[in-house]
Amino acid sequence: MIRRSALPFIVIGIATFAVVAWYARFTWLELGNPSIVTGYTLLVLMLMLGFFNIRKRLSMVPVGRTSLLLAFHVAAGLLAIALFWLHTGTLWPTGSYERILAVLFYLVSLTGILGYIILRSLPRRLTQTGIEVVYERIPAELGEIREKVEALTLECTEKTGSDTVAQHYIGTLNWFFRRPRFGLSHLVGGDAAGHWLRGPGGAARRYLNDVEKEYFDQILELGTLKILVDRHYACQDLMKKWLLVHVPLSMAVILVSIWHLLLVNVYAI
Amino acid sequence: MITDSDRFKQDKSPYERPNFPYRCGRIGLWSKPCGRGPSSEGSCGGVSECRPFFDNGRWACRRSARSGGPCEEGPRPDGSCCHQHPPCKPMPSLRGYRARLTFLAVGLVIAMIGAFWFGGGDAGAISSMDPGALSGGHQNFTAEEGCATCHKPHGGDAGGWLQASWLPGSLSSACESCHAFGGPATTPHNEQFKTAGGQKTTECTMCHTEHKGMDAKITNISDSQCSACHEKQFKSFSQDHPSFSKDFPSRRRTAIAFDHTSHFSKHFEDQRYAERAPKERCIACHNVGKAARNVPVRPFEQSCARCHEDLFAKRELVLFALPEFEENPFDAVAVGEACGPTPEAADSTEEYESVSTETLPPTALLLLGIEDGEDAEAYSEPVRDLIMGAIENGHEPLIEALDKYGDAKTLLSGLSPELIRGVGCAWASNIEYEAPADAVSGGWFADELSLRYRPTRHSDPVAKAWTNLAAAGGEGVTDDVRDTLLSRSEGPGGCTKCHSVSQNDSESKELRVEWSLGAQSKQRHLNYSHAPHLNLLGPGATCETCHKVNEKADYAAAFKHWNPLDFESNFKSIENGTCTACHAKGQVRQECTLCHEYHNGNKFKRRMTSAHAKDSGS
Repeated sequence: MIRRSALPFIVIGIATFAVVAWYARFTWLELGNPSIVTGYTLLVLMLMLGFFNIRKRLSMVPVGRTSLLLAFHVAAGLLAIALFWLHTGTLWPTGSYERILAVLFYLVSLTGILGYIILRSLPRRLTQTGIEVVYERIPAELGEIREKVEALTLECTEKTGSDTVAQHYIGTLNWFFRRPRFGLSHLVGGDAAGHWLRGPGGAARRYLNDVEKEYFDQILELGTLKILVDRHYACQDLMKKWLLVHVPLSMAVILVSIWHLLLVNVYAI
Repeated sequence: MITDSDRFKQDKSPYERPNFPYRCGRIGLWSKPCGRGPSSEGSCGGVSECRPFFDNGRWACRRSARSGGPCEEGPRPDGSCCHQHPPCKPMPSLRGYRARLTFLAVGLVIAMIGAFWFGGGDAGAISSMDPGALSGGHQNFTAEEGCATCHKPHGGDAGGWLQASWLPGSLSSACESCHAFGGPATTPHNEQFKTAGGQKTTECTMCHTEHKGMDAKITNISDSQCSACHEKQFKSFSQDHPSFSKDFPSRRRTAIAFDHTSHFSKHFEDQRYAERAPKERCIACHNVGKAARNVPVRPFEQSCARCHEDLFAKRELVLFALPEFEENPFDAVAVGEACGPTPEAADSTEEYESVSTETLPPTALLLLGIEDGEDAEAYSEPVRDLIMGAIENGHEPLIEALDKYGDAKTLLSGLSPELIRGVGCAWASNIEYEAPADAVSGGWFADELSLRYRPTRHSDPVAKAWTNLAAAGGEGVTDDVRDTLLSRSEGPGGCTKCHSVSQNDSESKELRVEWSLGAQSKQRHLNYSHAPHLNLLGPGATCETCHKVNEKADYAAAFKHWNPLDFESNFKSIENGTCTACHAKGQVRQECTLCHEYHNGNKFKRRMTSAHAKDSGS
């Protein structure tokens, strides 16, 4: 599940945790305040994790390959979770703002882990489609497929003088071609879309003559292509939209952490 | 289209990037976006298909090849595109949404901090500064000042916060406003140790961390933390704890000189006292029901009185005795006026012969303020004045004379003015005093030539007061007076036969009579309780499981001097093995704090009053 490129970072993360934990325990044994070392390490780590979000804005700075940065992000994220527990000494703090901080941190961690799982599992499914499509162009691709289907339908009607295909398109296929469909099925690796296309989508074929069947088969081929694009859309959409939760929560965590830092410096240390 | 292998050629591919803030609104309808796309401000750029270019006096179409190239109709005369479309509503790109949500989250956090700022962190209020509930013991004492009770920067301005964030905290001084110790608050164990490397400064927060919830145990400290400072490191009590000292736990002389050895092996075995001897051995005198650090001795009446109750009647104090005079110091006329005529006064023609041949007792010297009780010339006048004063004013002159030595009223408690006057009149008339009746019970009485006090019971206040006076010493209390009053063989000093007398320090002459029972040990950091051990040992087991009588010890020798530390206990020293028989790994607990108390003399400076009680005016 974890990429091989992340392993060195995970080893470094474990080593870092061991050093911080040892130093924290040493400080504790010396009747010092281990929260200082764990807290500041955690803050630095969170700021580094936050930096991952702005790396694209600093594309001119050679900060390394994105895959390496992601591996670092994953390892640092796991280290941050361990350091958080080391710092708080509990799963659930007692103060109200500290609880908010804990909730935010847990949500960020949870969305991060889920995001990593998504990023590790869905691209494989996209490769299996055999096509490549840029996420931003999917609406245009779907529009173009729809235009082609409609053009074929009109041509069929004009050539054969029969509106069977057109009626079937208006009554059934239009729903399918209008926008991406069967998103959940695509996400879980199902074939509900293909099943639909072979079933209700292709049900009119038996009522067509040979010429109409030629046109209809071309339409179904475009439908099959559309299923692949739909799969891309469903997967890529999730791969991008989980960040809509993860990134804002991350910023909130960093902000509340800075507030926490300010309070403990003024009140406690 | 996706099936077109040339779809990314520059004349076919639209220029789309994920970091554009807006996307064409047609995308939302799952249609092809227009060729021009939205502006960076989010307005539709596809109302016209191109922006015609004025070249050589005429407008030229500049529609992109991807959108079909220059149109046949060409631009309008005014230079506008002839292909006009209704505007779309551009939609933010995913990155745009993310930025908006991020700003929203940041804004919400700032708003929440600001909105709940005024909760102030006080109990019950939702606050952006609430670090968690205080432990049970600290719940109410912040009711008056809130957080500022401990955190001085609380409620301060930005400058105060800025300053506080850079300066070290002052929580320990806040703790000291309520907590007090027997030594410096910020030294290890509140003690000044003689260490070669200098002593560390400690802070309360090193061990006690608050805001962990009402049920939090904020006094817990681990064995490892104890070992952090101690030079002698060890893993566990049962394994390698340093050996107990050879005089553990009795490093100091007991308050009461009770020789367990002689009582157990001699007196209690003596057939003459068989009926009075306690059958239960230790618990006959030690009250196990009140066992704590010590197992207190029962009161005298319950433990010692059965054998020693008649001890006090023999311990008479001679306050004053009429001395011998070479010449009659009294004015017979004045005596006659004060006391009335007596046959002896009428026969004044006889040559004077003092009725007494005694010298002044040492206690009388205190009353008279003189040093030599044998020099008749020196004491005649002061004795006359004292007796004449007593005749006229009862015991007032005596109180006046003793006032500088302590509580004179207690020293003379129960002394009747009539007795004083009667005695004074007899002695001033050079006759022996004749008591109206024999003194059968205790208290003040007089015989022919002396004024005496006989203790009435154990813990007699007058006897204690005179013994304390002698022990305290001071100006006027001569060695002679002290020896007389502290004599173990006679007088009130008999108290010291059992109650040991200790010297406060080697430099001082001041002594202290150990009236109170209980531990006098300075083992401040020992936190032992007999109670749970007694329960565990049960009725069949005896104290002697741990406390083994040392028959060879010269216990009595320790009470022949005033140094309480020069002492040999009646019992053998308790060794580690006695405790580790039970307190060991896998058996009974053995952490440091089970037996040791970190602080020295931990106590409160002020009385804790709950906010509720204060509000209700109680």
